[in-house]
Amino acid sequence: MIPDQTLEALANGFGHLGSASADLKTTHTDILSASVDQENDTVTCFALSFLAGPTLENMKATGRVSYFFGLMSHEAYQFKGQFIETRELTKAELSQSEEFCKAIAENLGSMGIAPEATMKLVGTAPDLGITFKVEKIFTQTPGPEAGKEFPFN
Amino acid sequence: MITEEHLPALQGMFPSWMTTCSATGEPNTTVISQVWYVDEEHVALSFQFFSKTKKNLAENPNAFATIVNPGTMTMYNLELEFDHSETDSDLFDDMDMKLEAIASMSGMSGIFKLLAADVYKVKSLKLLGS
Repeated sequence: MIPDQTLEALANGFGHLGSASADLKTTHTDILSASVDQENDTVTCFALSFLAGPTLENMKATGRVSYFFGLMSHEAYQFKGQFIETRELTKAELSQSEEFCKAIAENLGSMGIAPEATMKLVGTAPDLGITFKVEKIFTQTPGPEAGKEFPFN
Repeated sequence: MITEEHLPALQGMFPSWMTTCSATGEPNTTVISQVWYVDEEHVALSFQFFSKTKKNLAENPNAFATIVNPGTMTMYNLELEFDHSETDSDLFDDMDMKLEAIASMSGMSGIFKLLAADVYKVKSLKLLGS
């Protein structure tokens, strides 16, 4: 089971999905929310296919995935695991991402960032689900616990 | 490589993200509070908490970072190569002072502690999506 403590940040945190090539060059891509399959301990990240190409190519080649996500409160986690598949996003997932993008836009707006600028960050709906099996979880919230492995399974 | 148009994204007003990997290819992605302009071909990153990143860089100097212009939300991807660390220099002192200011503003004074200014060579800088 993916720990309950991480679920809010998974759904509402801004994320970056990282990978490395066989010759150890790294890359990452923006993620606009994520869903969880508790039965299989998998996470599906909502990605933009026009940005995710290099990250996805690495995952397909090496299988290894890192997913960092965090809330505005600084609460943050990193999941590490094995790439499973890409798939289309469901209606429920697209709706979840729309709510996520709306909340981010509101937050940035309250910080004085112009709507047209905010749209560069969250103005395009994700069109690709990238699923990986979670193997390890690390706390990344700044402070003395940062980097500690989070109990899982 | 780094020009005036990129400088707003290097002022620490918006978080940046960084991915490194170990010698065995295990990736690690984290958020960083600040990417500093050093010169047209180098940036510096604050080394504070991310020990896995530090460990990875000792094994493999390649890194990838995304910076954001806080005014326009324009994002840039940087391919980086770790060059060296500084713990006693003007660069370190400048970064330490700025970091403490950021920490104070976000109510985390004393938690953000600069351990070193890590200097990287910028191998490429691309507008996100280009």
